Amino acid sequence: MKNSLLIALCFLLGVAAGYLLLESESELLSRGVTYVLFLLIFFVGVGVGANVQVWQVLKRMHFRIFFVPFAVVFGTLMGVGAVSFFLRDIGFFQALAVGSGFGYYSLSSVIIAREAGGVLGMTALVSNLLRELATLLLAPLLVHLFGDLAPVACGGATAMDTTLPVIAKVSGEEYAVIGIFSGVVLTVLVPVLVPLFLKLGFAVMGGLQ
Amino acid sequence: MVDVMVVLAAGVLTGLLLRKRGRFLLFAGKAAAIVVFALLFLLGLSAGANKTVLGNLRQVGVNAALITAAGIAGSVLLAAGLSRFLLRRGGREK
Repeated sequence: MKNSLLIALCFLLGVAAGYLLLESESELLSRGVTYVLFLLIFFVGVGVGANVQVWQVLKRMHFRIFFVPFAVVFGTLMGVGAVSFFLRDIGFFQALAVGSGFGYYSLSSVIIAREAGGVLGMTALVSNLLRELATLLLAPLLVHLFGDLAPVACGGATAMDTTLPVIAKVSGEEYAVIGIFSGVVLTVLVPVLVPLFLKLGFAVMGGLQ
Repeated sequence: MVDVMVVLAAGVLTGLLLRKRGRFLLFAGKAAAIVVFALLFLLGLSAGANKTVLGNLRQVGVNAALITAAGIAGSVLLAAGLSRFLLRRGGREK
């Protein structure tokens, strides 16, 4: 929670500085973002590779456990794809790219801002922040309505860290382990699926012209 | 996209190889946190510099909320179906 506040503060500080000091987005800035982004993706990878628990869970539960993150992926994409037809200014694949953040707002929003512009990047930031926040607030209700696996699904990529304590509390320790596994798989999928859907979106737009 | 996957794979490999080096992992965790702060600051900079973003905040908020709600609904419903399926197969996940 303290970290989330600090992150929000950093972002708001950036917005204020950018608004006051910069005339428009500069080439230098976007190049800086790219390098820092690669640094983050590298460290995300280190965290995943060094996560001993994930390999243990995989050994204990076999490949059946892969059903959980894949249900989160397909469920999210089906929901987001369906709602995309009701959105203004956002196409089908753009919505899928935003949804493919699975709550990982820092990574997804920067990738999207870099490749598809600031407005969609901002949408990804808000949308994925909301997913994390909703998981923290609604976890008890979700368990009540949809069962013990629901907070893990709702948490998406955040189930491995920020929303893990809540999941452990409302669903139990065994679901916390499933949450770590699902969260790690989804975290790895974020930098793969987000650019993929953006590319598909551009391809479709190019085909229409 | 390929560059992103190469960097990610390099990170996973590094993490796997160095997973028993506690001090390195501690450093990596701290570095990652600082990088996130820097990244969000930079993202804020470009959002603040981009006047179209600030002019569209309301629409951005509405779109973001709808995408979030739909994504959560889809994943939670599918997960509920999945856990029923896993239970019926006698595979209680414990």
